[in-house]
Amino acid sequence: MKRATKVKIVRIMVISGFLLFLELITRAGYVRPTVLVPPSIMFLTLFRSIISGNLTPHFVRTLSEILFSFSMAAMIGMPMGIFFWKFPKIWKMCAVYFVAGYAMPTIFFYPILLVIFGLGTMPILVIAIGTSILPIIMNTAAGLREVREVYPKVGQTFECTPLQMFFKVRFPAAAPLIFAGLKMGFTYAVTLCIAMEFLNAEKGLGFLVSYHYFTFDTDILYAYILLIIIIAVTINRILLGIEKRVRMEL
Amino acid sequence: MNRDRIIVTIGAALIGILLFIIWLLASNSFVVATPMASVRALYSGFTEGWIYPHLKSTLTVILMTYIISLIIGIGCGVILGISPFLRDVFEGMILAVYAVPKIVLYPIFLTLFGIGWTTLIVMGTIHAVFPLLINTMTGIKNMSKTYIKVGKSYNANSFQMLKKIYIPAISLPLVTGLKMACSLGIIGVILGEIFASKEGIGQIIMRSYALMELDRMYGLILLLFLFAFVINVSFSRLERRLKKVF
Repeated sequence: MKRATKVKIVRIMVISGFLLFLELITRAGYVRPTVLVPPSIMFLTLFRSIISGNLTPHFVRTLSEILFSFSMAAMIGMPMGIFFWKFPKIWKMCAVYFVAGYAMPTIFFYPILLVIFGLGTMPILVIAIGTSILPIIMNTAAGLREVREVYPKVGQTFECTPLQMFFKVRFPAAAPLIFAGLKMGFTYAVTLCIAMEFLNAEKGLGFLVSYHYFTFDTDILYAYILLIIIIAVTINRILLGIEKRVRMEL
Repeated sequence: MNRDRIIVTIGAALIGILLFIIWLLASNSFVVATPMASVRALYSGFTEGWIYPHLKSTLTVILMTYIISLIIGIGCGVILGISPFLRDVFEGMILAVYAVPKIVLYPIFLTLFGIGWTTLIVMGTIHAVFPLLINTMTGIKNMSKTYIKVGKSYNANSFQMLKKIYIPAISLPLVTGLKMACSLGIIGVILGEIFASKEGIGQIIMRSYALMELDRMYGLILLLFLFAFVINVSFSRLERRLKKVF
């Protein structure tokens, strides 16, 4: 047997074994149904609520939040990254704050934003943009800084104009790192939008999970958790696929 | 060179002062407490002592989270790093689970473990364990095969291999993983405290928000940021030093 097929078979066995294990312990009554729901019921409930259309407005809301905050972060973050690459001294001055802010729990700004903006989308967007912009800025600046000396020199021998130099030489050379930053920024936007909805919102997938937790609808709760996991995994897969393609083209 | 450094330091200090002034201006409105009042409220926590039980609880949970994540993360990371077959099977799954917003899993842990330290530790660990695992795994995957051959030719047993060959060879990605695990672990625990605890810093932040004791709330958030700042900067220093060695 080929190794790749072997890997695939084992992977499917692990996942289905895990689901089967959950199914068995819940069906056999080792775990109370209020604590854990059998996976088959999770899928069934999820399917039913997708069909009934109850989910659609929440899904649309979450998706638009994610897309809006990511595109804002990319549109502001990439020019800022270019600016910091052009002026390394200013970058060095700000570096302490960026490096510190990068791994800092930005989500704890949320009570502050709640006080300032009140309930609604504003706190969610501010936190999601503020967090996902950091890797985009840092990776854009780092990517442009670490372009190999040879490439701009080649550009010089072809007498490139500054604009050509940037768009035809430096930017493509920095693309893999910039894309890695965008990917991380997107993942942050997804995570923070859903997390913030969980903490404080009146609509959205994260809100649905917290709402059904507090009303003890365990069936629906697990169905929505499952949905969020599926969405996150799918997005991750797509981004990895695009990243592979970006790497291949260079 | 030296002059540049002085300019950069002065610039960084100026930006710090600017941020402080922005805070000061913002605190003219009644939704933002002044920096002085926030610091005073935080200081009163130490003089009056109301902060100590919460601080003790949070720090203990964070420490336990960190130790457990270290054991699980590095252990699994080494296993997956050494065995290419297991890595091929699990790598995709691990990367996928890492991308899931962990907070939506909190209801599961709450129903499973109830309110208390166990839940908090599980919540922190699920945040902290993945960067460690992934960095250890990819670190070992990308390390030069020569090192392993050298170890084998000296007849090193598996413990010696781990201690003398693998850990030093991957120290740079490992420190990055340790840094990320620390900050994510802090986030995980503090977020957990909002839901699954009767004490802890996260819990009193939410309580002072509910009671509209804004100076106390800003003071505690400031404390949290300073804590994360110190840890993050010291890990970054270590990272930079390791980068120079290699």
